[in-house]
Amino acid sequence: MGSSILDALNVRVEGSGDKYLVLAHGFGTDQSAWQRVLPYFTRHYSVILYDLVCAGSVNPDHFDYRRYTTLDAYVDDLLNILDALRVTRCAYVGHSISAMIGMLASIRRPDLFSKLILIGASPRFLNDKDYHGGFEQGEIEQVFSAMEANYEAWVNGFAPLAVGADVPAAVREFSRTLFNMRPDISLFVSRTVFNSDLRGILGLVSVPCCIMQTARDMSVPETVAKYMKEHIGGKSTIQWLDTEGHLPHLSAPSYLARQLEIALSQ
Amino acid sequence: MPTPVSTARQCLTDEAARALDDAVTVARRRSHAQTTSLHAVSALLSLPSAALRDACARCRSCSYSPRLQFRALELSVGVSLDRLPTTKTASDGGAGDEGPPVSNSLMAAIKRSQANQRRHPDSFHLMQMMQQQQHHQTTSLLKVELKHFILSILDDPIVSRVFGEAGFRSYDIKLALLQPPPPARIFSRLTPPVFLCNLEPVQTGSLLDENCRRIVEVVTRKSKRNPLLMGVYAKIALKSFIDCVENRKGGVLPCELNGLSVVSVEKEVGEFLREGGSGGKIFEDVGRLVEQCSGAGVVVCFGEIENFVGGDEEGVGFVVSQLTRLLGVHVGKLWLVGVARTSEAYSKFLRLFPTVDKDWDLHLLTMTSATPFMEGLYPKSSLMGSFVPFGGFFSTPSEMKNPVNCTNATSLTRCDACNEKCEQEVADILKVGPATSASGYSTSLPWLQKVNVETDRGLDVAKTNEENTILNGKIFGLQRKWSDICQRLHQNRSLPEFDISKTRFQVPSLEGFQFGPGSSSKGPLHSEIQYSKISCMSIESQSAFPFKQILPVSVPFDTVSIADEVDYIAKVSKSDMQNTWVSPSPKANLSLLDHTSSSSFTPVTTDLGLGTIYKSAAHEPDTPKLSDHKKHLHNLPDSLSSDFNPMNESTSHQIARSSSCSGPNLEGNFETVDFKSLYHLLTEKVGWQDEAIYAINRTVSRCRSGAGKRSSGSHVRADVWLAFLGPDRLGKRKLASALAEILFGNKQSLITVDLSSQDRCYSSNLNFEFQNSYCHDVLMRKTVVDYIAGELSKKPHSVVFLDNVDQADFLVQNSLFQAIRTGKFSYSHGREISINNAMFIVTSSVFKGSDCLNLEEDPKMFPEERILEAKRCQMQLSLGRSSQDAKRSGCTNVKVVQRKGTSKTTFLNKRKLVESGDSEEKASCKTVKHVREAPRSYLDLNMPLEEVEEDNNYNDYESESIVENSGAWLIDLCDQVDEKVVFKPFNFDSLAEKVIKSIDIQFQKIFGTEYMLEIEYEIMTQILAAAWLSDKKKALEDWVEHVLGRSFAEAQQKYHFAPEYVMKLVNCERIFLEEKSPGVCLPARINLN
Repeated sequence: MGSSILDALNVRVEGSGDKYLVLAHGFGTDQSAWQRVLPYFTRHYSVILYDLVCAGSVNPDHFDYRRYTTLDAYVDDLLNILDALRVTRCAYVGHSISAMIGMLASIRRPDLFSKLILIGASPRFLNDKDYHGGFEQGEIEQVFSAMEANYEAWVNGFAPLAVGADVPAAVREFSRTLFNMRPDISLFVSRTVFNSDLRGILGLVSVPCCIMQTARDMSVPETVAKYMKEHIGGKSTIQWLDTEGHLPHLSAPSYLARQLEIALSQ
Repeated sequence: MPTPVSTARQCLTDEAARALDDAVTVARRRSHAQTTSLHAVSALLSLPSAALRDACARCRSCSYSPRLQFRALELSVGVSLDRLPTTKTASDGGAGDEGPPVSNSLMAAIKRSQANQRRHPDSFHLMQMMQQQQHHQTTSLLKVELKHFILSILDDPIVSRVFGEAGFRSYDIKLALLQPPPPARIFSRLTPPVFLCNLEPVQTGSLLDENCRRIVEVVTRKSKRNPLLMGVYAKIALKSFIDCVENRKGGVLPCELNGLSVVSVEKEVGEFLREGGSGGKIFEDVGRLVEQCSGAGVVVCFGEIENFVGGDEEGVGFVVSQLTRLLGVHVGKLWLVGVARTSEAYSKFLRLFPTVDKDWDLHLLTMTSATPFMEGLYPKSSLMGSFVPFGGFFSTPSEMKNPVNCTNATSLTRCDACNEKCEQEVADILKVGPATSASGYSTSLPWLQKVNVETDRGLDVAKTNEENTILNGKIFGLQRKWSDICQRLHQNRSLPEFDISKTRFQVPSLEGFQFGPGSSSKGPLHSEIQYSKISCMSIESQSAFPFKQILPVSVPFDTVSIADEVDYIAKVSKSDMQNTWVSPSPKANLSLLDHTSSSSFTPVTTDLGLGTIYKSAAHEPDTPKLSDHKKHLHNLPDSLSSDFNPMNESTSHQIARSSSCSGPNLEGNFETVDFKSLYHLLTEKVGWQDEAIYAINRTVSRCRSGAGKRSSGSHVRADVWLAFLGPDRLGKRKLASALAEILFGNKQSLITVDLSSQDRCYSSNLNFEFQNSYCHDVLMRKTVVDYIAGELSKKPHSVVFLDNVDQADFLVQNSLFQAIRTGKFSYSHGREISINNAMFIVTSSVFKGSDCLNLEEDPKMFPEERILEAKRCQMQLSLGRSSQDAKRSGCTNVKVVQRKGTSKTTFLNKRKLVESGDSEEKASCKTVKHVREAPRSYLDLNMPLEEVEEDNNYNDYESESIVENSGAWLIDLCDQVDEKVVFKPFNFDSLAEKVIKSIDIQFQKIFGTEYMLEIEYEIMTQILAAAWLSDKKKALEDWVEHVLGRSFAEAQQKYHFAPEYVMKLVNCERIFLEEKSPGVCLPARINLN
């Protein structure tokens, strides 16, 4: 992709503020997920939006099955984008997989990030001896085989679960972006995510973090948020969101925007 | 007569023959009798380095998304293949194992390409050479090159049709095949080999997994070249790296690392640290190894950091210093590599040896993912094998969710070209009849499966009613298919085109697609005749309308169906169906649909465009349904252009009009309202604000007459903007609701949004909030502007009442400014909605306007804020000693007593507000919520102090933002509104006096003059709030007389009075009102204890 990464990943910079803010979407969505949150920030920030390479809105040819086996490849993308835009410091809001990416990026370039806001983040989704990540290996395999068997059916079942709250519009929107992803890529990325384990390196995150945790997030139990707060190396706080589901930016955009504003101003 | 494969192969070059073999494989897999050009195309497209696909990619039209177009191509190839007849016996005749023989058409294509190649100048001299060399070979056996093979296959009419269906033109592809690809591309994205199988290895020899690659990257660097792998997967990554270096897998390492070797001292170091002994030997060995090394150098793996911490510090110190020494001695030839499972271990290590990361020149690498080469976790997806990769996914939502689909409904959503093709296919089916269909198709496409199933049935029950049904079902299937293809392909068509196509195609779709029942049955015949009659009627009446009026009918729905993604098809087509079905009796519809319809389908006979027909045909107006449609429209994604809105607006207009048969006072009323009566009506509702009402009245009449602030010249805008400033929230709300009722006919025409409640969870037990109509939840989940726009689109003739506009976020601010300037209210995704028929009322009690009087008079006993905080509680009469701070009201026997601590808390709060301004930790929302669950006005000192404080923190933040927000912009906005209406404060004190007087009368009637009644302040505010909120005039007097009076009587019988006691009316703190007295929000009975 090289220099054309800005084109390839549909990078947009919105707003006119002198500070940079990165809004990074999570698995199953693309940058349009931020659509309703974005306007709250364009006044005070230059908001950088981009699509992860696995998003449905990115040409699937850019998805290199060898390269994107680890999250680090995504981190490379993020850092390349920021470098290409000549960003020297920014605040970063990452959802789900992007929260992981943000943490890894901040380990590599602590000076680049002034603050990380992690929404629906988890260092590890699978349960372990002393760790409750929310998923058992068996469950995950079932999910994967369901995805493989009939992607659409899986999307239709998964989207309402993930959104959690009873917001049909959000479910529709999430289903749309989720279905936009090519099934094989989607499966591949979920495998990557579920095989990732950031627990060992949370201590290296030195940038101040704000962990935003909703009630009843099907992917991230509350204990995970607490675990992260305890283990993140830098200063970290948990912001409990008064809304449900894994996708607050779709299901409660204006509320989330306010919470983000608060978190960013701290 | 088909040609055996071997014969055909002789005419082809190896490359082309391979393509033919692939085609034969495809045909065999599908159990087809012959190998046709279609199979060849399918095979050619699935080749990894297909010239055909490349050509397609180059010539594809820019206006379509490449993915969509390729998907469509896959689809249409698949569909065409599925339609070929299959044979039970896979290989018949003498073909043997060769597979299905080559069809005549494909053989003809091969022959053509031979001829072509002979003529072609490029190959001319080559051919001559060949002829010279191989004289014995006849020209007829000239081997066809792949390129020419493809070219002539493209000439096949079936093939060109398949390509045409996907939006490719065969001659474009041919041209692209002949021309070499342009040498350099400006945009890398324009090279889209889209198919999955295209993702073949491009980088040679990159057998390195991602983690290894990163390690190698670090190792090859000049500085910070000693990787320390960290994370759960660090050990696995290191192992794979060591394997990789030791096994020299296919030259995976860059050349500067040639001859790199790895030595692990982990075990030795471990032993040394545990058991002591001579550690120096280990490092001497390593040093010797490096000296002997002829290659790039040695990677020394020192193992896990965990071993270095928590053990014998002296030993560790020795190891560290030795390693440092080695690094210093063998600069550039020695690397260190280690792992740390957690960062905690590493930081401990750093604490022991603060300079070690510099000394060792360490580079931290996070290892957070398992890579496939380590664990084999990534089996190759089965999805990657097939040519039609999403075989099972193509079923459209309309298929899934809306099994019933009527003929014309779907046809309306198609464009010209697709419609034609669809017609053609339908005609084919009708011609061939059920005889051609055979069972055992291996189709991946659901609609075809459906058709198959139904056709099978059709064979059984030939020439009955059901046959027609089935055929119709088939036609439905086809039409759905074509709508689908059309939607995928022709999304980008502009609106006007669709307009035309729709109006034109209504006729053929109605007449052409209905499969005639013949003479066999009467039932369906009857209904169908009716049906087509009606549709003709509708067409006629449509054409009788001026074009303008048709426009809103066709445009919005078409637009919707083009623009939406698959998800929305179901809804849209449904609404299409509902809108286009016009029939005098729903039964006719039902009989037509009976066989296929699910019970969920209800024939809703509404037609947006055909207003007159609608009126005569429908039994009851169906406004909610209509608004449902509108809602669907607005839920659609943002791909609609903003042109959509004016039209949309006019549609809404029509909805209003057509539904006016139910409510006679919808539209025209606005003009006809007599403004004198407006004044009276308003005064009736809110008697205490006559000045405000006068101002409102004047403004409304001025704006109605076209003299509004924003009307200029010929451009008259009908929207009215008012700003209600000052106190009296209820008065404002009541007036807004009254205006909605008077101007627009009903109370439902009021869209209320309290902007202060956006992130505040009100306790529903507050008296004032009791009447709040809209749901807080909705606002949390939608943005305010979307909510307003959604409501406005449902009911454009409305009063939009924005309470506490000073707390609007700036999205709302922007939208409001734009709306007031342009008459268009913008919402999410940059869409706009006209507000031309709406009245906007913004209120603010903070902002008082420039010309307002100084309302800061002497402090009141009952300020509005306290009344607003009143909650609905159960009341209780009890006996008790008289309180100290009771304040006797006038010369009555009733005293109002301040509850203990209440007044103090107010001050306390204020003090804390100031104090907590710079507090560091903002409250987490959860705690705040917890506090809010308790009623807000109950701020007792008994409550935990912390929580109160946090609550204040939170409010503090809000008040900051209010100050920030409500500054200049509100003044700006208020300058632009038609009128600033300043409200007077409601005089609660005088109301209180009145109330107390009437209570006193009741009390004295029963207890006589010597006893006192003490009323708690809270109770008093509750009574006042109820009186304020009540719509009925005498409601409060009635309550005092009946409820309170009865309770006094009961209390007198129950309690034994002594002179030192007083009667007390207190609230039961935690018991909220359940049963309320009619007409007023007060308890229907009062507890005694």
